[in-house]
Amino acid sequence: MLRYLLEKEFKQIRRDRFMPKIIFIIPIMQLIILPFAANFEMRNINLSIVDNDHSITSTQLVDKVLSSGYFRLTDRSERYDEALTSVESNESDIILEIPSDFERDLGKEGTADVMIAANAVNGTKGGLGSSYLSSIIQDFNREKGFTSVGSGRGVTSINLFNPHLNYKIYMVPGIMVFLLTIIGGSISALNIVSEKEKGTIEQINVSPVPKSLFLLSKLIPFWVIGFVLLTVAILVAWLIYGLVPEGSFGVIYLFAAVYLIAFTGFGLAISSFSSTQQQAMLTAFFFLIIFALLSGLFTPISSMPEWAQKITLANPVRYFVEVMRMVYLKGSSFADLQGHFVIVCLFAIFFNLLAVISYRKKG
Amino acid sequence: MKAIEVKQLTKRFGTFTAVDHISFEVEPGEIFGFLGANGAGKTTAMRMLCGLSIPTSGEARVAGFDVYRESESIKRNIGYMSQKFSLYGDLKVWENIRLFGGIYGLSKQQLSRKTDELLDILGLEKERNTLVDSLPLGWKQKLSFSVAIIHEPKIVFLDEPTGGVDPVTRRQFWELIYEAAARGITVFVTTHYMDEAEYCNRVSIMVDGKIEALDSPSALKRDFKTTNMNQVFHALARKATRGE
Repeated sequence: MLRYLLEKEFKQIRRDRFMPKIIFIIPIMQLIILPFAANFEMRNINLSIVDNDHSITSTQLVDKVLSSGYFRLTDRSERYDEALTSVESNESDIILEIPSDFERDLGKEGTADVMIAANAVNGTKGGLGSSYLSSIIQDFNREKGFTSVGSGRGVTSINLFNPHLNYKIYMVPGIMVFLLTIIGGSISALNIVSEKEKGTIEQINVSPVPKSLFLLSKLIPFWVIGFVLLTVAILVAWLIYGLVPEGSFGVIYLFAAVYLIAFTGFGLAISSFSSTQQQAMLTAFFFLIIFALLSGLFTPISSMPEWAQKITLANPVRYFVEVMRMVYLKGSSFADLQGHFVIVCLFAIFFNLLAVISYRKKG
Repeated sequence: MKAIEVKQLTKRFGTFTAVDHISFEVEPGEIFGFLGANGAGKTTAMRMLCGLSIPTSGEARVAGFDVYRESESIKRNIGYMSQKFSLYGDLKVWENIRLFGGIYGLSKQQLSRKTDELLDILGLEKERNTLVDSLPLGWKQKLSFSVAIIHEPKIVFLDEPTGGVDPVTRRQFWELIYEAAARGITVFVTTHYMDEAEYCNRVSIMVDGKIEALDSPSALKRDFKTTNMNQVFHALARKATRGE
């Protein structure tokens, strides 16, 4: 029985004009566009420079700062007050003031102070900007052999697994998760509801096909599609970003297998509560948006308020995003991820039970 | 054994009684017309008999199986053709036949034999590889009926099978029904067309969830002192208090 039902599903999917687009074009577009759009790296920070020294060393420092590519010079002011005016009018984000005895002090004492003032109205820009700026100055120190320029005694952090803090590398594994979530969670829901709309589901319902078998015949194709999609995404990540997982493909596919079952179950459950495709779409997106925002994909979970952090514990997407990042960036093995695996399995069981029970009830 | 036995069958949706204590029996091999105006409760009654909906109260046995406890056995022994066209439009003609034949457990040989036989009877040999969506409605309905009885069920339920179909095709459709009945398949059919009611062995007429009349068309016409079923139907349906 299942064989005939699966044959039917695959034929229909192949003939659907919309499906191949969803399966191949959308993931490629998302992987190309999203990492750039959701990039937290700051560029074009507006910088005001107040150089009171006008010496060779101070000019070298300014050149170094500007050549880093992170800053855009808005103005060179004679006095700090003038620079502050441009901050107040929102033209610049950061002021770098070099005192008049800069070169002399450096030569004599091997140390000199510069002042960095950041506009904290846009906190991220100000914060990131001043930390970029101080690390550039430290670089300058090292090159020149000075012990310290500016406040050299600050805390420095080194990013171990993503040393250049490349956000694309950080985003891509997460976006893969998001793609699988959409396919599993919404396309499967639409598929069953369209059978309701057309009335074909009635014909199946009066036949001896058990409900669970019918659901299985819907689950398997989306499971296979999910694997194809994941493979396409992994290839795209490799071709465009040169990104290859540090860990094993086995772990990725094992998790994806269970995760897809979970989300297809989610989609099937939604479809049993909807009678039109619009309903199914809106219901699915209501949950998917919450899942996406609370997954740690776009914003770190650790910076969410306490209550939101608690909600993320009930979010399957969160676990798979963590897994993908750990496997891709850190090379975590299955042993490191056992806890995650159990949780994803529980979600798979929960959603599929919900789907089967709700379908039984609706009769 | 009766093909269908119904006693005091009732279905309520909240306070609304869609089917109100109906009782009737259908003999094996009979063509039984199930008539009634829109909203009289025909489809609801039929869905209960097919195991698609659970009755609120009353008894019903279809092909000898109880509708409450043995709906899975009922499903193996009936065919059903719904009001809405329900073959897969994005599958080809032969693919639909294969799918439904396969679901009912036909073997490979049976499937290929049935497919040829069916296409031959319907004159659809040339359309074997046509997507069902691109067939004209009348052909779709005939195909749909043939697929509904592909597994030679004991009973076939037809819910307004000829809605929107031209008179010539309706005529051909009824020939298919007669052939099926001649093979011993019990036919339970709802319709709006009173000329079709004349083709049935017996008809029941439902008004507001109750069966108001049940007999052969000729007996009904005699009782209502008229010459056509149309007038019988109007005489009864006029009493209806609920609309669509």
